[in-house]
Amino acid sequence: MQRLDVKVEREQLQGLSLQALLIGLVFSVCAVLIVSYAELVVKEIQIAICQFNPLALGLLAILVALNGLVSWVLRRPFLRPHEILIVYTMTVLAAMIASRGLMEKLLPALVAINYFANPQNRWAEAFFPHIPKWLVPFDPKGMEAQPSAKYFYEGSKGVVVWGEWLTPLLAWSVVVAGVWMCFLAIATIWRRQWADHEKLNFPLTQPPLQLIEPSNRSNLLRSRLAWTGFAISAFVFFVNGLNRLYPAIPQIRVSWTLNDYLTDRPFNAIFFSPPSTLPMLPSVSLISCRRNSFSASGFSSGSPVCRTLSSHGWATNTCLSTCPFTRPDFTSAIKFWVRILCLFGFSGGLHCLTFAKSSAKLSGEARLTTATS
Amino acid sequence: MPYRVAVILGVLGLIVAIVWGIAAGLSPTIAIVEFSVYLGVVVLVMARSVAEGGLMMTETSFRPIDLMRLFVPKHQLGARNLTILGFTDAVFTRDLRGLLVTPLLDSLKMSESVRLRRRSLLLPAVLAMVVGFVTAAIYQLKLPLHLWRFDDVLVCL
Repeated sequence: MQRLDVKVEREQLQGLSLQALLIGLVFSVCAVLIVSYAELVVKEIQIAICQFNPLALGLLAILVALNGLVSWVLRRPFLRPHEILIVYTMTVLAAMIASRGLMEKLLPALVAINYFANPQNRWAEAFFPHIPKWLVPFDPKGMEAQPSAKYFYEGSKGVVVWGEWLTPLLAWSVVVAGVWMCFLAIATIWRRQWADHEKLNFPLTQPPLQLIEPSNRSNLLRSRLAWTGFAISAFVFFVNGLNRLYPAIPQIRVSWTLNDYLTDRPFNAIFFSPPSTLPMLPSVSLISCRRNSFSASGFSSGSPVCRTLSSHGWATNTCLSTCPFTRPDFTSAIKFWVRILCLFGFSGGLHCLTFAKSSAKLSGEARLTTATS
Repeated sequence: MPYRVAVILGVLGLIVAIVWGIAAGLSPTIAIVEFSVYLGVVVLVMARSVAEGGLMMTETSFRPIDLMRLFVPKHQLGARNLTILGFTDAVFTRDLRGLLVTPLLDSLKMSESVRLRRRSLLLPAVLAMVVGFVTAAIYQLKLPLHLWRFDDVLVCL
């Protein structure tokens, strides 16, 4: 009976459709073009560098609006929710690949070492002999700033030396394919544990789901609170965007740098601290879990305080080195965690010892009681 | 995809990455540590943080080389290892903000709500990865940075 239920449930699940796949491909290409242009040309806004992807959400909103329009014209649903999810998945993946997911890190890494090498830093002597020819688009036995590197950084009026780029890109695609295969495997293997067994929230799925599911969407579109929040954020970003393009338009200031005001000792010891009053932050903290919001605010305010105390001699360097958020030093952070592990190991060991002793004592007493009786 | 296939795919992917690292010039031990720690620890921790806490940006906490430094001074790893690690760190481990596991997990989770068969997401995901890689590579190489204008984009298209 149970098996029958599962079968019926499986049959009700929707599958892949060709139109979703084709629209997804179009949106993927659009996402790549928009991300590349925004992050590398305009450079004022990074729209796809994070897990909560503003570009993908924006394209999803456009898709939903277009879908509504086409459905109204055709008098039947054009894309159903599961098809919209397929398009969204493809868009978000392509956007992240074009951004910090891969390409914005890969291409510069392949030529930077050649372009920035010079006789003073002696990179050619130090690094080039260890680089295989197929790994990079320049000749490791050659000079600094070879054409492929120079064209990449200084422009070539659209002329790309494809012959030099093809081999390294193919070579890197092998390792990228390996890593992405692992990503697919990790997502498949851990989804069941995290989603089904541990019932984790997956908070970042809420905004897209609000747009994808028709019932949620109508609630969202009727919510005055959501529209008010959107209007405030959009207004601030719109005005500041205009200010970037046309400086005559006044800017709405949303960020201050504390370092400009705290110029004397001990307060000038704080690390770069720009507290912001971004209007989107309340909504961000709403979908993020409470512990995260608390940790973020606690750690970001704790860092300047620790630095100030340290500079005034109220905290020793040893104390600070156990505090990973006071400096961007990975070794300190690792040492901190190793110390914490040792501490837990030690206290855990003591607990086990106490437990073993009390167990031995109890069993001894029990044996004595049995012998007496 | 079925669990068994996922496990095989994961192991195969890890082997491909490690063998590639060795071919590029990493010593076998360093290649194993680099990719195993990245894929088995760092990626997993970040994915869990996003799934549970909703982290919007997964910034790097540590790289595999930071772990190695606890046991071996960095200079003892050798010039060849350090040179190649410079590439792999730049591409994979140093900046995790575009980690692709998290949107995959999110989409799998969302598929329950819209009653989509989870396996139906595999082909679109792979296609998007391939299209994203090829398009982004061509586009970002075709238009050298300081020459990029909207007109250039239209001409290129």
